[in-house]
Amino acid sequence: MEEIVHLGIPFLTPDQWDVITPAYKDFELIRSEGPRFGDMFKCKLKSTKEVVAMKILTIPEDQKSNGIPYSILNHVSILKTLNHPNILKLHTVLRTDLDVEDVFLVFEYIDVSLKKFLATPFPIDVIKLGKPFLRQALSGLAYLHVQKIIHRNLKPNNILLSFQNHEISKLKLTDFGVAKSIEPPLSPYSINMGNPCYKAPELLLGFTNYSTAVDIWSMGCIFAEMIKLQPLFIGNDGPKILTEIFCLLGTPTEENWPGVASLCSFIQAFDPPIKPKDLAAEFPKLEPDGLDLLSRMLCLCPNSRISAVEALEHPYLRP
Amino acid sequence: SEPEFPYPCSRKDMETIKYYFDEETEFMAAPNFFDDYRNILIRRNAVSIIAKVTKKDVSDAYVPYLAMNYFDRFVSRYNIKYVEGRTDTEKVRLIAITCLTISAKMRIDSFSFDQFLSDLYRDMNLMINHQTIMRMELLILQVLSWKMKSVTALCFLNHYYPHFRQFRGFKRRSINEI
Repeated sequence: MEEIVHLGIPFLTPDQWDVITPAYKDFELIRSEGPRFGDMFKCKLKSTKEVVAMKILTIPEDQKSNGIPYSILNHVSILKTLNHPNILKLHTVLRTDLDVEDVFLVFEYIDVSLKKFLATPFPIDVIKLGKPFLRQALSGLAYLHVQKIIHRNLKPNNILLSFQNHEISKLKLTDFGVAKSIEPPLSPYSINMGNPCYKAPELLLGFTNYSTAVDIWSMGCIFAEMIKLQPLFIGNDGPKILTEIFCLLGTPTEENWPGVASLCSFIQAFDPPIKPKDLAAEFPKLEPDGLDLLSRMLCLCPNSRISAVEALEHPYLRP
Repeated sequence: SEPEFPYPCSRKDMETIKYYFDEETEFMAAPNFFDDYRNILIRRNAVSIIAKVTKKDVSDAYVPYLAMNYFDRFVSRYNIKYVEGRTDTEKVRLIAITCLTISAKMRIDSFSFDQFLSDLYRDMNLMINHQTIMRMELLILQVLSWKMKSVTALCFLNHYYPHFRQFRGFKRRSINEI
């Protein structure tokens, strides 16, 4: 569904063409996630020959009378406040004139996503890359979380990498389209965004007062995927994923997740509770410190899950 | 310690506060801007417009507050001479109302431009062209370089809650209401 192939020349309307062709050339579609999320393509800045990535956010027809909609205001405001080596940098915001129909985001260009990298047929020593990967990804996350921003849609597709001498030279988190900044009043948050395979159990159980811990869970799933070279959870809907999670990590109990039973009564139906599997047997290639960190990132209870700042100080990631 | 006012003590909380302190100035009016008496008059005018327009809709007190934050940042960074309108009063009114619509969009899901403009006409006999306000919106976004998630005094509340403890009888809720 989310194949990243070179898809040729992007389809642009005449108005879009007018905005970007004066300054940019050589358009090439690099990612298509459907009109709702905006296509991503690469192009060249005419003046400096710099290659950049561009994303078009189209204002939905029914929201045009409201000017720039909240979704775009939120998306761009968040991107504008971010400035970190592990977060894809937004260069410029362009827009169609007068009757604004599209907002164009111009980013730095990085070659491959983790998804594409993991799909390469060449044998690569991912275990060796695990530490530098996690260190960079978590430092980007720690930066976000300090600003009280939740990414909410971390997956291998949204982590961009570039390599030098078989080592990761750059790692950038991207796609803040459904990111959320935590601010009062804390109204219930949406639980519908993001790919279910990387969704934290509290989201799958329907909790609407979740926090930055959901991103740590996703990162744990991604780290596990790098080690296994296949996704950790593969179900195509919430209940299936939840079952897979419980089979691997056990069902939550009042001891390891206080309050879970009162919020989700069906948990008590698992009696006796499912016992967690031995992670060492599941990930035989991973060293003990790595296993310990993984288990802390995949902690069922969000309040006990390790934070990005703490994870960076974990023995596994110490230089 | 009382659970009502937990001390922010983790590393993460302290980093957050540090970030707010570093960023706050970027979300303030330019320094010395309000030394000028005329600018104070402009601001007073804007406050009264925003207060009047929000009076009947008090669901989220942060909306007018955020609007004033946008207003201060905009007028201290852009010469209002170039804003649409025949008189300064008209210009200030347009800026203030547009700031309010942006902050309302940031905070209220169901906010509708058309509804807002027709209420404005009904209650204050104020006719503002849809196109005009859309153009103004783009200008404001550009001048504030799309940074609409302001770091304001309210961001520091979590940090300062514990200090309210010495005034007995304060509840977190009542502080939030202020």
